[in-house]
Amino acid sequence: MKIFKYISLILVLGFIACNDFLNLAPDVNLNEDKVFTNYVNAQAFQADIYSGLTQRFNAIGSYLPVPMSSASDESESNAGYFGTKPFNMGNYDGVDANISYYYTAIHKANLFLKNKDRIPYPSKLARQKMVGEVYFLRAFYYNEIVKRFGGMPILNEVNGLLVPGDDLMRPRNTYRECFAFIMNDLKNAIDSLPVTLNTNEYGRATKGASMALKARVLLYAASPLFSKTNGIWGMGGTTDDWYDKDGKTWWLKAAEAAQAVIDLKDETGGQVYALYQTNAANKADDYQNLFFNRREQGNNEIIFYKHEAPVGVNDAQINVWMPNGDFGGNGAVEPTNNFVKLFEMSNGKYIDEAGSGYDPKNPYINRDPRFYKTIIYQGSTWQGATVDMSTTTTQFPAGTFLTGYFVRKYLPEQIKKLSTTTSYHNWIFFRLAEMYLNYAEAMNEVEGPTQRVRDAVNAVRSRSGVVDLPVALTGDQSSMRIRLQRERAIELSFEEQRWWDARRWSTGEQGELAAKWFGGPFYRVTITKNGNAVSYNEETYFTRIYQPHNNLYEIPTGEMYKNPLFVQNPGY
Amino acid sequence: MTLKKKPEIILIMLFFLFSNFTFSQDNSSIKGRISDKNGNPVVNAVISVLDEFTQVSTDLSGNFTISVAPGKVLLTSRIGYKPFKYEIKDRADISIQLEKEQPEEVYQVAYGTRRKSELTAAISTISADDLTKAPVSTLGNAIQGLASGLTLLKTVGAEPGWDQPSIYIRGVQSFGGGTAPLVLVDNVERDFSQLNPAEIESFTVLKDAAATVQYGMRGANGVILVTTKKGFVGKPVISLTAQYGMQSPTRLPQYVGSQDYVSYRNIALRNDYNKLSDADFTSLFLSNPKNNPANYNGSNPYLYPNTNWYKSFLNSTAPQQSYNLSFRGGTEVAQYYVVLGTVDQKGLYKSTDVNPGYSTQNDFIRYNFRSVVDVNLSKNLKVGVNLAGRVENRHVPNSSAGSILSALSKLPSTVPVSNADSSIAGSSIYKYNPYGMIAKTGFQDQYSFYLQGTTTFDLKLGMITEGLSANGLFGYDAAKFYNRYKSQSYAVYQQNADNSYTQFGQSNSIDLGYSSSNSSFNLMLNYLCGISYDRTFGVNHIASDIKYMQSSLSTDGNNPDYRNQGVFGRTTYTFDSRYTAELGYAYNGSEDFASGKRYGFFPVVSGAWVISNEEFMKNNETLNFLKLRGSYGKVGNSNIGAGSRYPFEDKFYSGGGYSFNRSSTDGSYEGRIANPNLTWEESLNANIGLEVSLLKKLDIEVDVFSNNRRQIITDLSNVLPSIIGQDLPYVNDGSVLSRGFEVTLKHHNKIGDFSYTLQGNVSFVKNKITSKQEVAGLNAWEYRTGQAVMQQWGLQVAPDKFFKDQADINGWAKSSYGILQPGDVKYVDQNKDGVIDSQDYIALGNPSVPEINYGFSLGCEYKGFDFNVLFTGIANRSLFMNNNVFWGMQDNNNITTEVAANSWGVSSNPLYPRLTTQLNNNNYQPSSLWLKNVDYLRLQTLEIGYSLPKKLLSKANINEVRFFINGYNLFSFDGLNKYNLSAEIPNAGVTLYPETRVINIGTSLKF
Repeated sequence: MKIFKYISLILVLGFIACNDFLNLAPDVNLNEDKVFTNYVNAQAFQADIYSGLTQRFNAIGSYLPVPMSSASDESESNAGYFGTKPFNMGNYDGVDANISYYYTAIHKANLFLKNKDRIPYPSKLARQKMVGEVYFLRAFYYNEIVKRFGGMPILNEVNGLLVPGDDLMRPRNTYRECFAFIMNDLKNAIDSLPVTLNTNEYGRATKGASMALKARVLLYAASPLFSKTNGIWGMGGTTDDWYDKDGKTWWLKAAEAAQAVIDLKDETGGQVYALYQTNAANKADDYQNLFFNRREQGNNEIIFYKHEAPVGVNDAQINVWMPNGDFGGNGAVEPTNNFVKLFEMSNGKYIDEAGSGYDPKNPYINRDPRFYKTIIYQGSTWQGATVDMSTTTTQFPAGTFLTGYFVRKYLPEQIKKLSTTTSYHNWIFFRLAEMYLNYAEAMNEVEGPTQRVRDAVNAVRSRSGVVDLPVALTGDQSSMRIRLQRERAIELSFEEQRWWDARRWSTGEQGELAAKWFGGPFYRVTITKNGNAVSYNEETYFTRIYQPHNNLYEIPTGEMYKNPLFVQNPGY
Repeated sequence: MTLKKKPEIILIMLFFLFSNFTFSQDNSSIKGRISDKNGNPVVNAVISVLDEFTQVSTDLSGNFTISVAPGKVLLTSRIGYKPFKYEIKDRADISIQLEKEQPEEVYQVAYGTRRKSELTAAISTISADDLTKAPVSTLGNAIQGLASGLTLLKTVGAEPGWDQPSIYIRGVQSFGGGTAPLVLVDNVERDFSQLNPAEIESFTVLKDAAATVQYGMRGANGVILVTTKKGFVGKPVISLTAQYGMQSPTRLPQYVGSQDYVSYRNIALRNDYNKLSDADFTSLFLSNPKNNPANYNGSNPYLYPNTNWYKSFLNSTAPQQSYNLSFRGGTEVAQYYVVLGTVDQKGLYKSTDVNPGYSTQNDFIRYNFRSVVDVNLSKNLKVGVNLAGRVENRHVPNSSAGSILSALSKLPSTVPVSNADSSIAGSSIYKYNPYGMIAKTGFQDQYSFYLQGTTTFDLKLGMITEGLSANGLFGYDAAKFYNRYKSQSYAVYQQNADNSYTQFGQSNSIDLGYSSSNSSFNLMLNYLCGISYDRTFGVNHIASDIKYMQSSLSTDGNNPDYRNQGVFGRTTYTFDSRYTAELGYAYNGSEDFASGKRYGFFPVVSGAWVISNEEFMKNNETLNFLKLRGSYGKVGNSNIGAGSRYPFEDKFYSGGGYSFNRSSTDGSYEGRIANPNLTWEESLNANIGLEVSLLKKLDIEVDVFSNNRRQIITDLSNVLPSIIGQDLPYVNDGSVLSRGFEVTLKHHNKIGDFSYTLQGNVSFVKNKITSKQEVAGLNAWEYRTGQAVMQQWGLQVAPDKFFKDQADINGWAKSSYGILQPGDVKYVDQNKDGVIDSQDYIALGNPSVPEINYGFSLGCEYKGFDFNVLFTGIANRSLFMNNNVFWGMQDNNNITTEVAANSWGVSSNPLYPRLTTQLNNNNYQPSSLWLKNVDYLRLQTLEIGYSLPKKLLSKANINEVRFFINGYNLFSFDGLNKYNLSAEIPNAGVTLYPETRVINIGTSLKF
């Protein structure tokens, strides 16, 4: 029996000797040290922080994601699983409430900033760019959260790299704290980022992009939704008595921030940004082309955009917008008649104004030149065909379109059904026209419709060949406010601005604007042809529900359960 | 020269070099006869000379002649008789009388065997004969209903070569970690699904802790042991089996004809456009001749067709064939088993041979070979080499079975197969066509090559102490996978009213060369060694062993090897064949846990009491055998499921990134948060079993068990706030209690020439999540704790099922799934918040893995005829019906009569919501409306055979000739019959390849 013991002893010893047989793991993988002590690895990590910037604005829904224009009055999503439909029906729980998506992006930024001093940068400039961009991105992502929910927990590189076991039950920070945090990140970004980029860096954040974000954040903070409320939900005052302590109103600061972007000079003293204007016979062509032409092609209007590879007809990011049927798209974004009616006549009058010349029997003539670059309508030309959305059309299978319109704006016309042609396509987050309109809106609140307010708006209008604002408006601040709101709706349509603009112009208690625009009856046109005669009949297709408290999203029920310290937004 | 001698000669030549045997110069022939106690001859007994190759067998009179020298020892062996040793003293004729024996059954257990009386563990076995009764190429489909404790679930259709079922032992016992059992073939972790049934000796399911403890933290989900055949001492047996069968689909959905389809579609359109006036609706839709049912009268088969897609593209039968040839035999010195097998199984598609030079038909071809040689190199050393190889080729169309069947199921009968100009038909809505998918997308060849070698040695160390031995195993498995394909694309054409055509898609001819992809290779090395001690002292029997194992799987790509390592053993003590106590243990580890959390010790104690061997019970005529056994102990599960490797350490991955200047830039991102404290799931398992044998005719085995799985590997995403912004770490949290019982009955009887066997088994297991972190404040019905792991969850449909009018809608909770109109499904707002959403989900029906599995069979023999029938079934299983049979018309798809005729607005007592041509998100949520009980009782296999009389054959030197006909999956009793769907795989034939039944004829010969 002795030998038995010896053999088992040998077995056990052998086992202990190769005890690290299972210990293969550590040498093969990258870890935090290896990533941040190597410049190339750190660059890759930093590039991935950008991946939180979405490809087609915030597309909602998993089956066929649709843009948020369809939550606003701009369009309807006649698409499969109704990404924005719950909004239209007044249900905000868990719709576009992707808290973990933006906190994931913020976590990446925080991890980078925690390690920023360990990276072996090749130069001081390289360090400034890398770090500055991350500050910009963190501010961008926080702004995405705050504009949805109001104040949410601030997690930074010091206190915010959470793991289970840490104190995860963070209460919501106030809106002011979030605002200050974003502004501080933007200050860091503006201080360190360059004005211009090398061609191979296009798509990266710049000083101008950071300044534009700052202008937008200030404009939002100054707007009624956030300026007139306290605590988690707002600034609690209209004057800057605590951030820079210079006593200026938030509107004035917003106007100055927008002005600074417009005035931004490069290293040689040249103007960095300019509205995109060529000597096109039809000035509105420039409005159309600014979404296709790149900065190296002379398009200096773009401040910050997603600079991607060309898209083809089957790329989901563009396909969802394109007309279906003979045109090969999904036809899932259809402008509403509510929205089409917002376009002025070419004489600058609203369609329901006296003397506008609007003819309901022929509704698409003599409209704002931008109308023809924004909307595909009955009888317009698209990809060489005269579009027929009548009840007897042969271009579309019956019942596959709803409103009588499709989007034209920023859709490359050359990418056609069955073709392999591709086109550049810019997803623009910031462009100069917005800065003009930001300036005009803020300045109108500061000093009323002065000449410089009118000039700023007219600069944007005249680029597209739109007549100047009527002089009669001068002196009436509230008429000008409404003018500017409609101007913004048209100029920035389908750029994911209106859903947020209408909400910030409203207040929690009143909710008047957003509720007026986003709730109630929604209209389409039914088009019938009798020989050559075409008749248009506006009809209600749906009644949307929008209540004042919907100006802020509902904190998802799941998150409320997980963190008892979370306070729900009012009305939910 | 006779064929039967040949293998022997080869073996003798092969092993001549190794032998240390002496050949006597003094050999001469000696005659002998072997008889039983009554003087009757013993036929086919093998007589061999101890330590020599010489071996002969007795003829029909029991006579033999052997060439042997005096002083040598003769050894006889014959199944059913005790072996006998006879020392040759002179040249006189020999007469040997053999004593009958009824050897005690011996069972395969982990790394060893146990006699029935000493077995303390709960196991179930499947006989090799039963495995060959189902004419299926994938072995997993042949074992259902044959062993207790086993759950087999087919989750895909019978696509040749792709029909592996899911397997669970004693149910699903964890809601976090992996739940698949460990499978070993010849003690090496290998898949058994494509083995040739002919090469299997035993199939054993290890169920309780005493049975699985040897596998430590890998055994908690149960273990399947497959042992392949070996040679034996005896005359060579050559057997040849040839089979030819026909597969045919069991059930295929019955869709409506085109006239009915158009009528129903008009109803659907009216529902979709309920806001239009009648006049507008008529002018918009009804005035279109395509929407007029009367036009579909057969007069214009191109514009107004009536296509039966299944009939057009699925054959009613597809052939399969298989052949096996094996050689088995050996001497006391060396035994061998060689088997060659091939299977060829074709698919059901039509239109596969329209292309010149190639076919796109499914074709699964498999070649198996196995060569097993065991050699006694000396009195003390036995070496075995088991070398197996396998080639599998799956030839498939370049469109997946799922996409082809979906197209067949969804295309309405109003779409023609082809146009008047014989181009492939389609339209703007239907831009695909099954003809194009089957015939015009090219094909793929998917090759798999396996080489599996197992070398074993067993060294008796009797010189040290009697009963001691050392043994070992070296396993060498290589696998190579290679795909190649030729691709092609097709266009469909829509015939317009003016007879012009609109094209959809691009048509390309087939690529001339092959493209290849997914070539990969892996290599697995296994090493096992140990020492055993097995000795009997009077009435005391001690068996003890300890072993060490390690394995290493190398794959191509940037993966470190996948490794396993452990020490395990077992000590069994039996007193007087009455009391047995066993201690089993393992100490093993997983690479997925940090050092310090990596290795665990798993002990299990078990015991058995053979009551029938007690004095007071001995020789009881009624109760022949009675044994009570029990086990209790700890086993583990280190399988982290679908998770990535090494979750204990921080990792960053390459990937992600962003596009700058129109080109993507490399990215890297942080992996899941690490948890250095992560460790295995542990399970405390208890089992009590009772084995009874009555009147030597009825065997009963009952097991009752309770498995308490704890520290389940999960992440806490349901309780931790999303602001963490990272994938949450795996942690050990929560527990599941599984309890159940298994009963196996076996009755065997013989009345004259008629003998029969009745067998049955039933298994019941119910599990419950006993702890799991969940957030506070939920409504009581939302908690997962207290529910089964695989519980189905969904919305509850209100008693009146559908909204009757707009007022009904206005007065009810809103749906978050879309805009409602009359005829839509009405759900119960459980939490009364005015919105129907996922917070209103409740536990519905039964779990998706059945709680009850059973099988029963009858086998009988009479004068050369044999008959065998097996029924199998499951119960307590619910599935959501979510395919086109139930959701028809949606998205302009086809619809079944059953659903169309019983839908809202058509039937006065509707069972289904309103018809719609659009996608509808509200009506098709998981809900009680779509949940069905999918219990079934199935006629699984039936076999009738006839063997030619032995007397006739002996003259031709043939041992056995048998003809048989058998069938598989012949009939099912269940609730889905009226939908023409399979109860086991409701998506078969709809979104998956159809389920098939097989009728098969064959013949086997033994020489």
